[in-house]
Amino acid sequence: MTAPGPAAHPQLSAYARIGHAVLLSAVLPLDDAGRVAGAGIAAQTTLALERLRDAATRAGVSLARAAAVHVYLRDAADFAGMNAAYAPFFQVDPPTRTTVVAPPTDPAALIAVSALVIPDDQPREVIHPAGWKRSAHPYSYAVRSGNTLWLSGLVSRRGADGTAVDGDVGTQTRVILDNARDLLAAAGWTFADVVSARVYITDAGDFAAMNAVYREAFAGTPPPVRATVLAGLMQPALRVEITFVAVRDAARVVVGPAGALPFSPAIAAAAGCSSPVSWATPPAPASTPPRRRARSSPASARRCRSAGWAGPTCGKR
Amino acid sequence: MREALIYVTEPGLAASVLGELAAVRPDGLPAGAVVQAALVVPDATVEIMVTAGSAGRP
Repeated sequence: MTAPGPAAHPQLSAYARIGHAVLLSAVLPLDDAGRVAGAGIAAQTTLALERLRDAATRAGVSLARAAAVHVYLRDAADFAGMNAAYAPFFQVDPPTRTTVVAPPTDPAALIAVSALVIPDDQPREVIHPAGWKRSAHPYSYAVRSGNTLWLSGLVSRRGADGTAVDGDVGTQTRVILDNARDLLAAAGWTFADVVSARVYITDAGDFAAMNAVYREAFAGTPPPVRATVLAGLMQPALRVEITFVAVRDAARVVVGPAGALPFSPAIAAAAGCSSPVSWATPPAPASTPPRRRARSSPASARRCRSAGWAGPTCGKR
Repeated sequence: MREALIYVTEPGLAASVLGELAAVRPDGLPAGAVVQAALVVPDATVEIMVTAGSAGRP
């Protein structure tokens, strides 16, 4: 079900149920009159989270049981101030979190926040690898509920002590993937269970180099769905941040129109390739005809590789 | 469609993108977010990531 309400954009529903979880739309720091209010990031963060808590109440869930929060800031310089105001809302076992500079479309808003919340009657468990230091900021690295595992937006830091690992985007991507592997393993899972990724890079010129390392993690398994955009990150040295969602489902299959579905038509057209799309879905009925096999093209495969993509459908049209 | 995460390159594009979304979802809009971000494809102005699902299915 979805529900109308005061989301950041009235055209979006205030919340929607996805499986057993409830997704709360991004909210702005609105006052009772529906105007952006609050002087400074601390006041706006508090207001936004109060609006999100209101939305959770209307949806019949508790914001404190969020599994994943996304924070969209206008300015990375507000990170510390946002954290200080954010922490009181999640004092025990905080949710995973991804924070990027992706400004709200209302110019007066310094922040927008969305959350995915687990109802009270469903399990919710923080997953933390043995030997890892707890985050210095108010978020957990991973939260599991049922067959779904949400990971925080990961950056190039050592899990053991939280220290930054400097380097180019390839190095940073490798550190992120190593951390993701540890987090998945702590739940007993692997990259084969990952169904969704949001990739944030700070420079479009890093796209191919990021992909070159990223695809290694999914060698031999269909890569997850993915969106990649340019966004500012919370430290100047950071070049990439990745947020993964995993679903352990024996029926996980790659879905899409016959011949595959381009995840980004412009990229697919430029590279002459298509992209697999993965999600956990029920098994197809026995009467369902098999998907048409894609036809391979060596030339388009080369273009895929040059664009940094070499998934299972690379070079197939 | 349960969630639409929408990235637009200019804030002024949000209204028209959401209008298009409403046109294809007259029976009930998804939840989600609309924020500003630059895209990897130079000439693209909007990118949408969708999550679909059924309510209540664990």
